[in-house]
Amino acid sequence: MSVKQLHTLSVEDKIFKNLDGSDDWHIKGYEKRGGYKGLDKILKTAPKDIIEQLKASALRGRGGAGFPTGMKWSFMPPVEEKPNYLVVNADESEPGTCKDRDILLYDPHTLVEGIIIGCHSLGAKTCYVYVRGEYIDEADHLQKAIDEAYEAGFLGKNILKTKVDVDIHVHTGAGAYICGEETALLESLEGKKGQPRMKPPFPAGAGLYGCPTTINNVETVAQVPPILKKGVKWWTQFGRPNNHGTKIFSISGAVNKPCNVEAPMSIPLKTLIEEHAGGVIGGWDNLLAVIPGGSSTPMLSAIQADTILMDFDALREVGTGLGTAAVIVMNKETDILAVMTRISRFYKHESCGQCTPCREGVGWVWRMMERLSHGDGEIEELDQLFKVTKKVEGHTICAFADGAMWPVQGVLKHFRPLFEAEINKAKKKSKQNNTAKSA
Amino acid sequence: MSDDNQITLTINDQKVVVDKGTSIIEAAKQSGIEVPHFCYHKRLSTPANCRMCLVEIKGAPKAMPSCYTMVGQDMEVYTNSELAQNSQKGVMELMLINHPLDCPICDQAGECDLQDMAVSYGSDRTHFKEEKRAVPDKNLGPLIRTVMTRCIHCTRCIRFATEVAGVPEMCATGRGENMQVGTYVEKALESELSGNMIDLCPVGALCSKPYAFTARPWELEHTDSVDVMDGIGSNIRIFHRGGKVMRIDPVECEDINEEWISDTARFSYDGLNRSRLTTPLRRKGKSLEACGWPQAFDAIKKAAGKASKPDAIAGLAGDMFSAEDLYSFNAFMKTTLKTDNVDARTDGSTMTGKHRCKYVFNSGIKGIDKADFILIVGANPRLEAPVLNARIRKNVLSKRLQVAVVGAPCDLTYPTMHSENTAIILDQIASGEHPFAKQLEDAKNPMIIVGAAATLARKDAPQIMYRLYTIADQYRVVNKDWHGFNVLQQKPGRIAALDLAVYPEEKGKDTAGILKALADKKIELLVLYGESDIPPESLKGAKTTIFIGSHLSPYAEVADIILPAAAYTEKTALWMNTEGRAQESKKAVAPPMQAKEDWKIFRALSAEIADPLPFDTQSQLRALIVKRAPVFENLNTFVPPKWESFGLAGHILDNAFEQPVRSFYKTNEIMRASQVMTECQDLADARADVNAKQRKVG
Amino acid sequence: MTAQENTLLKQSDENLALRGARVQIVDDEKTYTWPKKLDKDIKGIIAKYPSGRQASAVISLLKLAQKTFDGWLPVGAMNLVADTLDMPPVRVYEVASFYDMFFTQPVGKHVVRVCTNVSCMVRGCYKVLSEIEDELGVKAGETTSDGMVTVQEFECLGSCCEAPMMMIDDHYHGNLTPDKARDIVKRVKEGDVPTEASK
Ligand SMILES: Cc1cc2nc3c(=O)[nH]c(=O)nc-3n(C[C@H](O)[C@H](O)[C@H](O)COP(=O)(O)O)c2cc1C
Ligand code: SF4
Ligand code: FES
Repeated sequence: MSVKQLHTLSVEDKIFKNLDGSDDWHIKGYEKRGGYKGLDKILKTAPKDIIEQLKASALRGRGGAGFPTGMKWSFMPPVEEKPNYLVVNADESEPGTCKDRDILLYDPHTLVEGIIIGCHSLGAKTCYVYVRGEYIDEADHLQKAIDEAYEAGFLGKNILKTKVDVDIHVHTGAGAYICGEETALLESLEGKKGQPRMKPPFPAGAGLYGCPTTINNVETVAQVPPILKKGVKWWTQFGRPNNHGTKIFSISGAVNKPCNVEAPMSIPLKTLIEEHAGGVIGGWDNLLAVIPGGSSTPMLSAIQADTILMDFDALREVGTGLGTAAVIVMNKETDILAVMTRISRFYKHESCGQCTPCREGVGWVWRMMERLSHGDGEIEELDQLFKVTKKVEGHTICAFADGAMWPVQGVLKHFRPLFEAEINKAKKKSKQNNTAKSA
Repeated sequence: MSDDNQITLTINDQKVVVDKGTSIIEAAKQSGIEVPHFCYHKRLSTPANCRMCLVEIKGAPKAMPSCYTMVGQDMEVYTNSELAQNSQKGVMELMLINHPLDCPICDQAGECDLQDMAVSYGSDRTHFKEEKRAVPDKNLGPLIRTVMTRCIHCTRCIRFATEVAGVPEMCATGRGENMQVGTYVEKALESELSGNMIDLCPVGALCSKPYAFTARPWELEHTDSVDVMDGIGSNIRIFHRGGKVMRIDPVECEDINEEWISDTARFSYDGLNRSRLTTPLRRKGKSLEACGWPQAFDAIKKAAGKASKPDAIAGLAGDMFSAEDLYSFNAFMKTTLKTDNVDARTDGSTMTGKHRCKYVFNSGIKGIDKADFILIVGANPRLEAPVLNARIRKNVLSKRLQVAVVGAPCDLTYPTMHSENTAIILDQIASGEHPFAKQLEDAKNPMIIVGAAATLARKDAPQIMYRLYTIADQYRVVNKDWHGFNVLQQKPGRIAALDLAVYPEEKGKDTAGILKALADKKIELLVLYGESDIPPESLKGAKTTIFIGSHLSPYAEVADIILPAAAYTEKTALWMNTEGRAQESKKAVAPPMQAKEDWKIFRALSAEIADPLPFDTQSQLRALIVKRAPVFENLNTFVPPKWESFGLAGHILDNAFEQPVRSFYKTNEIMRASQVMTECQDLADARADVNAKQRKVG
Repeated sequence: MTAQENTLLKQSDENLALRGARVQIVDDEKTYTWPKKLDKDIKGIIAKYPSGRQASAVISLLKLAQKTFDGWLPVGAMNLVADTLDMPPVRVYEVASFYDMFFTQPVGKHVVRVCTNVSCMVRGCYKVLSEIEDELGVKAGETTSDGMVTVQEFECLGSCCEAPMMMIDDHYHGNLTPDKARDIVKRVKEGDVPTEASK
């Protein structure tokens, strides 16, 4: 099967038509761009059929893990005694990621419409949107959009006379990366520390307040209406099988024009950077490495970056992941050891602290990174560092600790010689100092 | 083996059959395989956060926590495969990197889970070269000493405080490696059960403050015994060295105290070494002088000889006595001194030993686990029996149990329904007017808990008991399969006193009669055995007053002759707990200096005055006890008595129930002598003051 | 990345002191009450959640308390939140000390949070930070002596395409250069806090 490799999207094909904020983000603007059209028809479709279409579209979660959304939604039980909930994850804290922010700021109604359909499909009457605490203007735009939607009759009781009831509440966080992890998010939403829960039970069985709950990323939810409206065929023309659709890529770091851009899945990384982000500062040859999907994903070397396609499966094949599709570009001016050490410090700062390996391990790893990146240590300690990451990885409640270890494993894989050079340099220097002293 | 509730699996290739819903770690334990663990504790929730218990399950992509993962049919579990061992070793190393190497000065050394597991599962060296974390210690009050750098964040203490004690005061603030366990705001813990956190803490982060640096576990001898600070008879282990009690820990006993004990049981032992009577004393004018046993006995003999008639002699016994103590005292008074003016019910209760069902905890403490509704009448189980209260709480939290209270306002750490505080509510319940009646009616296993202290000493106790009998009868509180009528006795000696009839059996005076006779100057010889709630002033007036007890008490003021007796740690004895279950305490240490075991004192004294009492040895004494009350024969077994009617018809007074316990940390002479308990009581009083003030403002 | 920038990767966690995680706090026993005018807001916040689930409002109320009482959370203010939501105080302390945006120690009137995470770092945030530190005469984690400004090194603020960036009080400022940052902070120092969003 030949795959049409699209590199850019026409305005019609874009889901987030106002991602750059050039147009009106209020309801009027959104409706002008085609929003809320056909909503009543979808609300009259049986949830079962909606979920079937999502399954056929192979939409995969945009929050990082890439779990098939249709399948996730099919886990929700029918409403019995307890209410069902939809919770939207707008905690966006993965370093490098800033796509949900622009959706909230410039196209919040895409999310609102997605939530209405999501609630209908999941049998939920209430949706909470967990917005990270720092997104104050963003939460404000979303709240205004919700107010406008109530006023227009798209929210509340008996929406568009379809007997569907939906209420949306904005809940803001207060600064903790771990609250993006879905069960930590639920804990936080319930008024506790954001510490991930053991599974089972899975949220679809017992989530928010012990009720069946589905948690999805902002982008995932916002992409549902266009899929249903334009059809599975339209959606699957983009990207390779099992990776279909459009996707917002956040391109930051050493590029000439950092930006959020909605592009077809499976776009070559090089094209993405060159065509949409103004190219690498200093030219493609000045590229050092690329983090493809937010700070948790292991980096790609410049050579890999040359040919890699940006989708879930292609990146998994080379030992990394699409994550949140936050592309962080580093060129040869970047002190990559310092940057990776900084990332380690981030994880040390953000560990929730309940699991022993994570609580103790991320701090240890950061301190070793700090030392070894300055050449303070022995070359054997690089193996030691790798071993420590293996002691942490896979031994914890949530995937945070894995995400904290992968980038370190990545830098050891690609840039071990840089560490060795630092260590040798420091050794030489201290030897010189010693001979100078004894002379 | 086709039972639906059984699951067959293999652990390390060994076939294991366990109940459905068992965790892997418990299944392994049942088949003799120990999986290392820290956060897991069978009586607490399972957060699975220490990650120490990781095991391999065939087919699972990663090692799984065995504490959280339930067994599945045909599961293949390996606790010692390469994957499992690597996981455990890795976690152990990470656990230790920030743990101080201060075992030589740590009180936990020798009984530390971390130490043990580091030896079994750790590697002998670490690759950790960074600086270790230091955490400031917290001030949690007079009972618990903290060395927080040692904390491994297992959160057992937090879960205990929140889940079992019901006093959520412990928390983990901060995040990641900066997470700190403590109270955040400096504050003494307010729980009556806080000492259990010391046992739960797998390392030396929470230690006993009074025990700090006093001994090493391997130097201590220990003796299993029974606690007598309240009436439930918690099983304890007394640690001692050189004749001194150094520490008291709980012993697991599913039926009574699970594995908890109250702070009074654990920490009052310093009272055993303070204010003790160590030699007989005789009054010389205003002061008391030491004398020998013969001189003291001689003086008593003279006083007894001088007494004009048996009715001029009287004896009162306190609340802290074993069956041996009470039997020998009773026999001494009734046979040797020939008086029937004897009473151990110094609170004024007139209840007798007839119908045992009216004064014991008939359902057994374990019965609480079956109850679905409890009506508490005139009791505060939190202060009268903290461990029993925790058991009620456990069942309330699991949503199987509701609790209603008729009595003084109290916070029992779980949600309760309170009626107005007056005894006539019982009339309304009996007549079905009160909402509690409906709840009793609807319950499958309804239970009534009557507080002995606040109820049975009332003037209208017989009428109240009658009403309670009617209620119990009417609402099937007692039926073929269920016996839910319970009396909670706070005083450890009361049931034995009733069983052994330590009260007037013929025409003698009871407590009230004795006090009146004293006031009327009609008593010539008064024998005070131990302290009670009667104020010393009311005990003045006898020509000669003898005090026999373990502690120098305010009663010494009125006493002419004082004999030093043994405390509960110093005698092998039978104790009857609130359930009416006999348990034996073992002598851990000898009575101090010249003090003697109580029954020996009465036996010797009887020989001095008249014919010796008919027992020379403790086993002879026991035989007599069992003859009088056969319930003492079966140790450690709980025999629910027959259900018979009791009480007297008549009016109940429209009076409030009083608070049964005023000073929790000072309910007996040992606690009153204890410095540690004094500190606790001072803090509690200060808190009560602040609360009272706030209530006034609000 | 220069060596000087490297040393800015501080060993100690500068935000910790402000979060109060290091010390056991002694309660000053001051009691706090909500200003009457907030009654409606508080009711509105609690009403978002099902009845009996009022603890869900804890973050929002802590934020409100922090805004109302001098920009930080004394024990009494946390107790007030606990009281309002019928929660054990320790559960509120846990929440307050868990999240980065809460302060359990006094802070300046304005808070400047400079993102120093990866995308911003690649684009020179440490130059921006040292310029700001220079201008204010304090290091990250500290407050100016006049109590006007606290500077924090912050984790990724989710505005990576505008790196380097910072947040001042409630607003983002992106595409910074050291000069631009200095100008903005100068204004903040004088109490003239820019509120225009970054784009
Ligand atoms: C440490 C950690 C942080 C995460 N942060 C976020 C986040 O900020 N936003 C998000 O949408 N998902 C985040 N996730 C993923 C969520 O757990 C969850 O998979 C996602 O919200 C599901 O939505 P989706 O199926 O639409 O992708 C995070 C996961 C982990 C392990
Ligand atoms: S892995 Fe880390 S962040 Fe995740 S639950 Fe465990 S301690 Fe918390
Ligand atoms: S004992 Fe299982 S994770 Fe701690």
